[in-house]
Amino acid sequence: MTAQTLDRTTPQSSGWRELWLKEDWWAIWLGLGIVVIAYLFFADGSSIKWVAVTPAKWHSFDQLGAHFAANYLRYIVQFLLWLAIFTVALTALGHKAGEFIPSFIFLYIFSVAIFALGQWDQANKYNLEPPLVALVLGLIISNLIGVPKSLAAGFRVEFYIKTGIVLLGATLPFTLILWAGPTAILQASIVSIVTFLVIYWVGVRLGLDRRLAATLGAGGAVCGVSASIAIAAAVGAKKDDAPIAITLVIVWAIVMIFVLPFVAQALGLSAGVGGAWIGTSEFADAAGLAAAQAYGDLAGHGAVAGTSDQAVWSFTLMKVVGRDVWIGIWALVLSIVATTRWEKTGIDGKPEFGQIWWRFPKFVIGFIVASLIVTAVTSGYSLADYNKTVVPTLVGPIKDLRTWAFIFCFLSIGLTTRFRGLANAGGKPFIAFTSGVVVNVVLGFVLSALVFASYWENLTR
Amino acid sequence: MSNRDACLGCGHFRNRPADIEAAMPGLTSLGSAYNSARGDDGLCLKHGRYIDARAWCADFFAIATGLTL
Repeated sequence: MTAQTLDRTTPQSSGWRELWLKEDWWAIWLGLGIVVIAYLFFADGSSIKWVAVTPAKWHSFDQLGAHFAANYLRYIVQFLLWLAIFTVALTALGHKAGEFIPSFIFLYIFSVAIFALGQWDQANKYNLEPPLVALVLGLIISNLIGVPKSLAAGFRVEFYIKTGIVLLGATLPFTLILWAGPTAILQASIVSIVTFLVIYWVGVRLGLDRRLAATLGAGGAVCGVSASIAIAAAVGAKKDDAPIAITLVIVWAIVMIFVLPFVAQALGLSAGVGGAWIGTSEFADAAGLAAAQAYGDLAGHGAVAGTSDQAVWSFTLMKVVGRDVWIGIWALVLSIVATTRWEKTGIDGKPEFGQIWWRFPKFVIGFIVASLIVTAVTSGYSLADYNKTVVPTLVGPIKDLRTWAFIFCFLSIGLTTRFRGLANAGGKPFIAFTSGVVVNVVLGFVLSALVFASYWENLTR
Repeated sequence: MSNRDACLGCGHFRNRPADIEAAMPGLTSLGSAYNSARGDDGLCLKHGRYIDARAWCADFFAIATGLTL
């Protein structure tokens, strides 16, 4: 689609309407809504665990069949609840319910199958970790079979991952955020600044336009696709610059989903250290969580030291707290540089401090608030009581719903990634971006596994 | 320059999320045009750039005057 065919409706400013016109806020409403409801049930001596059903461990198809025969009503109710809340949110965002509903039915059925496969007691033996299976299956369907455009309305990668991250906040003690957050910010800042400068410097040396080089640098250094388009706008890049960065982010992010967990395991990294490395060196939240969740699953099976939670927690602290929240500052600094130092484009702009807030990834607020809520309401429990009472009836069901949201996301990544449909990145942008990838991965490893290892190995409640 | 003359009010400017996602291949794979980080940014059809809605230029024309693309 060319720019000239774009719909001619009046451009809109979000303003306060952002509260219902942005996925970030809807992720907060849905995520915190689930957390509050879960707490109300918990406080009443009950639990939402009935609806937070997940496939059980199984050895034979008979066992699997028996599980679904006994729990089919729970799955139906859970499906209807997901469908209802997502339909409300996406309709408010401007999507058509008539297109979303069949798409989500497709997504849920495949998600159940992927989740069940991951619970097979031989799954670990064949590396059938649900995040990786979801991604590969989605890629196969999208690239070899094809997905009708009308069925794509429900494949909202970023919405699902943000909803899942808000739910993840409820399972992450706020004290851990306070304890490890500053380290995450320090480590992530070092890697982000170095990675950006490498990509930018190599890009400019290769003769790339400075605005394209900055767009590439932000994609590799900050938060992937979101950073690329935010910085592209902040510096006034050509309309084809962001798609080039998007292509490179997608290609490298998908490669790293498979490479980072594999290499981390080969190097014997613990779950916490591996998660921190993935958080430092992956390029997008969704892709990184797929890798971190897969590494956590390895820990859950005993193939890696530590716990499944440690991989996901350290990843989230590093990526979300350490990198994502700084996008507004990156945009401000680069908009100042672009307007004062770079060649003119015919479009003028005044760098505004306000963008630190309006570009802020608001779902992080939901993540923090969810952590605060659950930490506050469970602070009076001893560790033994917490594990005996709170985990099975409050935190466990929220974690199970979080896992569903992540599987919807991981499958959607594959289903929306059509390699033939991506923009042609070209050789020079590829070299520049790849230079940053190499530096990022090596530096991320040194900081995660050597310099700050003690922090990431000791992420416990 | 007043806010009234910023790109947000210009006939060359497009910032509907669905349009942005359609114009940027791969955006929905690991991102979204509905996220907060994008703000109100959009495409300038006149200059062929992706820009901040608060920017401005000499080619501004108010939406109400009609479009001649």
